[in-house]
Amino acid sequence: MTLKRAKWSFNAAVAIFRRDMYVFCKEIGGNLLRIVGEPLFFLLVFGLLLPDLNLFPTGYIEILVPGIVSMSTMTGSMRSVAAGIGLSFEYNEDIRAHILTPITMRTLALEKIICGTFQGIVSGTLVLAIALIMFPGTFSFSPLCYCELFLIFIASGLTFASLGLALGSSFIPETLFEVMFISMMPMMFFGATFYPLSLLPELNPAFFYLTLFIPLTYISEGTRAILTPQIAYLSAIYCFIGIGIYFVIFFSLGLWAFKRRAIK
Amino acid sequence: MIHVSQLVKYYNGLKALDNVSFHVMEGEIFGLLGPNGAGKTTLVGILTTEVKPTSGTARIKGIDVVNDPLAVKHLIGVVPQHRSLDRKLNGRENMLVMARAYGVKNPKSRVEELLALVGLTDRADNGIRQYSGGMLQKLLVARALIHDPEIIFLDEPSLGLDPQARIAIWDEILRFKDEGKTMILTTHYMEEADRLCDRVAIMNQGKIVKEGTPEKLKNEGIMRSVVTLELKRISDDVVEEIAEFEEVEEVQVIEKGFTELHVYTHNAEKNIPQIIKIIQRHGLKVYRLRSQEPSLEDVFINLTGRSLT
Ligand SMILES: Nc1ncnc2c1ncn2[C@@H]1O[C@H](COP(=O)(O)OP(=O)(O)OP(=O)(O)O)[C@@H](O)[C@H]1O
Ligand SMILES: [Mg+2]
Repeated sequence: MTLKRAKWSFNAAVAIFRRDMYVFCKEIGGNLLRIVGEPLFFLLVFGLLLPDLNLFPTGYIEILVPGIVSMSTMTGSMRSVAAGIGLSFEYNEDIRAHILTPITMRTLALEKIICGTFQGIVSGTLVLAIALIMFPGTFSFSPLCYCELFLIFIASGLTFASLGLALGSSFIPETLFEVMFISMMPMMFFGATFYPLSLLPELNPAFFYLTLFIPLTYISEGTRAILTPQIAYLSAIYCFIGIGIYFVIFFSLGLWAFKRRAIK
Repeated sequence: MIHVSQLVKYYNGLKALDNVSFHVMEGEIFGLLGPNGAGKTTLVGILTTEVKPTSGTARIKGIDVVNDPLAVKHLIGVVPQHRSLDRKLNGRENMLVMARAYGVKNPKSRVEELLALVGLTDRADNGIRQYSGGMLQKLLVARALIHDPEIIFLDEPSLGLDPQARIAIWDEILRFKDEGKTMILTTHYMEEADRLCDRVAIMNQGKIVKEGTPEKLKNEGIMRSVVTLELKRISDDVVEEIAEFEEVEEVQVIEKGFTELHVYTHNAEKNIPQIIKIIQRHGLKVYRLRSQEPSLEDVFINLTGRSLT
């Protein structure tokens, strides 16, 4: 690819990214509800209500919050891309117009992934902010920590947006939402979200290996390594390696599925 | 300008294109005519890089559509058959996104210029969902022109339009031709192909079954018009005399209380004045005259010996 073509492709990607951001802002109300709604309920029930009723220990908040923040980076990025792409191919059809522009399918796929990553980061940041307000004094971390967290959010966004791209390009909307449900549920509950990995090897080894298999685990543990290092099992570096492997897999899958759908 | 050689396309075992070859010269309007499922959109899709050919090659200005899709896309404008407008944006925003994506200089003024050209300035702030079929088509045409492409693909540009809107699109297309643009146009309508195209390829079941200028197709008897005349009465000499014209294939006389004469000809324009002259010479009077262009149906029956499916 010559420089000229790279420039065309980049130009088109920027224009399409602007369009996607514009639409995101235009539908901001619904988007925010989608992004923070679900995590907010988890925080309310498991973080506030159950500890209040003495059903859960108050210390559980420290375990819960990093998990929920991680989960929201996943749902924020994965859902937006999967639903966006799936619906676009079938109903809105904006994607067909974008395919006509001088852009490579790889660049277009990357643009969709970056959009999804953005939503994942927004989601993680908002949910973290809400948690800090809901549970003041529970977490103390420096601005540098937030920079590290930001990297984890980016990694999560890229990985799960790629997975979203793979799903959204592979299924028609009628089945897509079931497939998303089926793929997200184990991730949400077995991705070390509601429990820390550190307790498992001794108490439930089988679950430990299952959890290690779930990509979200590396985000949850990575977030714990920064927010609550005392209960983290994996160090940040292992988390980045783990999520990196999943990113490569999902990205290749996503790109392959998108190309197959875009060019008949 | 456009060279297509032995294109074959299978969709999971279904043969959509079967060894299609043709070329289009600069400044030409090339028509692809054929029934539903003939493979027109598939062919256009390959040329616009949206469909991957199973085998064969296609080049636009020497650029291979498979090897360098980006350069091809930069060169062409496309009015797709299946609407591809962004329903989350209004008309103007739709245009603006595409202007920026193509790297058009001064995108805003270019968009306004094109909106004015197709007469959509007033409605540019409306969402796409509020557009009528004709307005959507106009917007698609304007969008295809955004980067002033040399080559334009129009896949059934007049589908579902009322006669007035259809003529407006035709005028537009003829203006592009005056500007020296090369076009490939697909259609179901013989009249459209006849009026607009320099050359026509008739497709059926993934194959080009006939190719040539509309004149040539007419002269070869593929395009046959029916001239219907209503008279009070008629004499056998008149019928015989009409039947002697070179272009006339058949003359039928139908009695309906009055006399109806059906003349099947390859050149209605030339024959009509001659026929009237003969009738007048015999002291007869024509009450009504109607000339019907040959339909795609006629062409098909002629070419394939079977009716359109
Ligand atoms: N994406 C696709 N997947 C599978 N088959 C397809 C696909 N697109 C087209 N076909 C098939 O290929 C054949 C040619 O279709 P195509 O759309 O090219 O025809 P067409 O001449 O444009 O028809 P129409 O006049 O209805 O637009 C048809 O049999 C159609 O069913
Ligand atoms: Mg078609």
